[in-house]
Amino acid sequence: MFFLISILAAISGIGLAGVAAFQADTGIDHSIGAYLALLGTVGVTASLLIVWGGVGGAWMRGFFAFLAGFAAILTSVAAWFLMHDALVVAMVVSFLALVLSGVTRQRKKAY
Amino acid sequence: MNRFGILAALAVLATGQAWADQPVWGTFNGDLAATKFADAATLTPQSVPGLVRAWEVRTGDVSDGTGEVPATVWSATPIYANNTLYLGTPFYRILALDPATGAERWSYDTKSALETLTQPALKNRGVAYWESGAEGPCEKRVMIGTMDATLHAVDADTGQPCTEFGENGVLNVNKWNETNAIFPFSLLQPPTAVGNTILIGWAGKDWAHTVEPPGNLIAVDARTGELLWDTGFIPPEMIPVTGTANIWSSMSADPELGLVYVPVSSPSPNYWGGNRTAPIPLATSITAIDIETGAVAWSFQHVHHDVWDYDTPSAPTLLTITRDGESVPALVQTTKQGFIFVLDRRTGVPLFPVEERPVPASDVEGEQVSPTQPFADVPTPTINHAALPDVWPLADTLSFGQCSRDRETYRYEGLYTPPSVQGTFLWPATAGGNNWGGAAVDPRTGILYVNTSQVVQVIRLIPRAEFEAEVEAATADGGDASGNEAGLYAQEGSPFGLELFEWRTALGLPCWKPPFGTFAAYDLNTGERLYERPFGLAQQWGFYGLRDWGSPTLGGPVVTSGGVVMIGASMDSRVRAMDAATGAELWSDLVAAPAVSIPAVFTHEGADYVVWAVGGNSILKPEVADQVVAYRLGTE
Repeated sequence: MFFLISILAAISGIGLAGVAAFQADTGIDHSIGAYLALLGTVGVTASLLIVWGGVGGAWMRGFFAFLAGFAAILTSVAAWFLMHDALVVAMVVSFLALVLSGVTRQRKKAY
Repeated sequence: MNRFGILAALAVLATGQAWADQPVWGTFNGDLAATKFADAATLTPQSVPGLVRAWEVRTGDVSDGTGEVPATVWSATPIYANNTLYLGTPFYRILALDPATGAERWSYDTKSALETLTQPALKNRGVAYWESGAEGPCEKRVMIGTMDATLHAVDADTGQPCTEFGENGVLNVNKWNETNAIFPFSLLQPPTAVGNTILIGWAGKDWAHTVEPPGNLIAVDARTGELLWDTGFIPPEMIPVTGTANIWSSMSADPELGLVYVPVSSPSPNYWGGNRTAPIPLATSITAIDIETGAVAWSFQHVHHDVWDYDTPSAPTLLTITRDGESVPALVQTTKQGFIFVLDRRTGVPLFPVEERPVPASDVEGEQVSPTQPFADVPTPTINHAALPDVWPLADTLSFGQCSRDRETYRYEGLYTPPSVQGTFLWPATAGGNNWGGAAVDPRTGILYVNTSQVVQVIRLIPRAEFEAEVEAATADGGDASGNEAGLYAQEGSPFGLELFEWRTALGLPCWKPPFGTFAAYDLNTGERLYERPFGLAQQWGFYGLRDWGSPTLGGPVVTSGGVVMIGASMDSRVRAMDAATGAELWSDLVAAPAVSIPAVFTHEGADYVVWAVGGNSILKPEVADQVVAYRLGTE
């Protein structure tokens, strides 16, 4: 469930970053920063979907999970400097949900 | 007096009372004293968090320069008079709007050619308003100037041309441009109306040539446009070798003293003075001129032999201050170099000490800079001249030491270090310090509020033999052949072209330590600085800087009787309300581009309004806009 939340938050991030990048008068529209943030959200989402789809082996899924988390952190930092609070929240939620999904999975394995 | 006469007298009294109760914003700076003070008592630190957008209008008069129409720069202050809001646009149209709704009442198109004859962009700072006091067509007029040197006068109620003015409502100001006329008198700043006299300054391009039109102030009759007088600022014997020292900014006036106070700019060319080594006493000065005759009453030159383009940038603000228990009619001038000069406006005598101090000599052949310049330590300058700002470690690290290497490469020996072939740091930058937005003053307290850019530039003189090759190299990748994008300027007629640029890393980060912009308040009675704090947010690639870094600014503040400062001006496309007592931000709103203008603050039908023209300026960042946005307190 946490993993699904992570994906949904990342997808909402695409929408938020897209609006900020392409809608007029957002203060950051058509800026390099907004495009980078959009790229970041797409990267997070794509990585999460790869993990979710079970592509490759465990090592590969672990790599993409790490990539998704790392990209979510970087994108949230970028969003903070873009003063886009909603995107910060979306990326932090995506990251935390991803971490929690990993923790809960480890616990299940342990039990 | 018969019954009709009594009724008429009562009507006049009632009209007068209504006028008195309704604070207007009748000039670029609000009033002829250029105080930028608004008697808007409801706008207090407690209330302004409740400001809401009353209305928004897009004029359609905007261009980013990518098409056929040149880019626009819009810094108009709306005028509120005659129960109407008047705006000039960078396409040289006048808009008359309903102040409560923004609905258009009429518009007037000068049909001026949209050509950048003297400026890098189409530019407008608004309109002027004049009224005779009588009733009837064209007894109230709105005037707009154009880049091609025409002044249009239209009826304030209908927008129809006032045919008795000039030729069918259009005055060709360029007919007085008779000497060294290599460009037209561009009327970008609205003229100043004092009584029935219209005072006209103009803009040119004093960075471009050695010999240019000599600067002057033109006075015409408000009804007819007939020339009343014309006062020049370049000595006649110097006119064959130099030019400008014009008035491109706004003016202030004291009708009781019969004086207009004009900010005179630097002579041409801006950055090399080997052609003009003899004194030009009225250049880069604050000069008081008799409104009736055009005679110079007094003048205070604050830069001798200006080779830094430290034009006097804004209208001096007039107020009364207390010195030794006595009230003194004073004038305060903020400057690009960051000095705040406070003068007795009757005589031009400084009210705080001004000292001539030795400044660095030039090492450029033919140049003879002044050995001394005026310094005023009180009030504390808005720029710290003691030293160049430190290298910013963040930028230095990210540029692998470029900033530190630059620091060793370019010359800086304090304020007024002359331009050089090796390159000289300009601190503050040629745009200031403080620019045309000027300062706001609360006349009740004598407290001044001012925003300041803290920006370092580099200027490098390029020997003529090498200049063309540098232009070719800079534009080899398809850049602007005029040299504007590369910051290369020919200074035609001089032995040097020049390169002017901000001191940044290859990635665009400023090399100097923040803050990049500040806001400060001063008690002009004592000269004490009450506070100074970073203002606004810098922005690069969309990313905002930290609050402590501040932002460079263009545009000016307004202070209200309720104790609030209203200001746009910052890079981050925000308009703000700040607590006048502390400088703390109380409210902000995102607008379409940097609001590089002075807002109009007025009371209409019992409600206080704050209206900004939001147009942007490429000096801050590329965004341009055509937005007019009005705020008032929300209803509970």
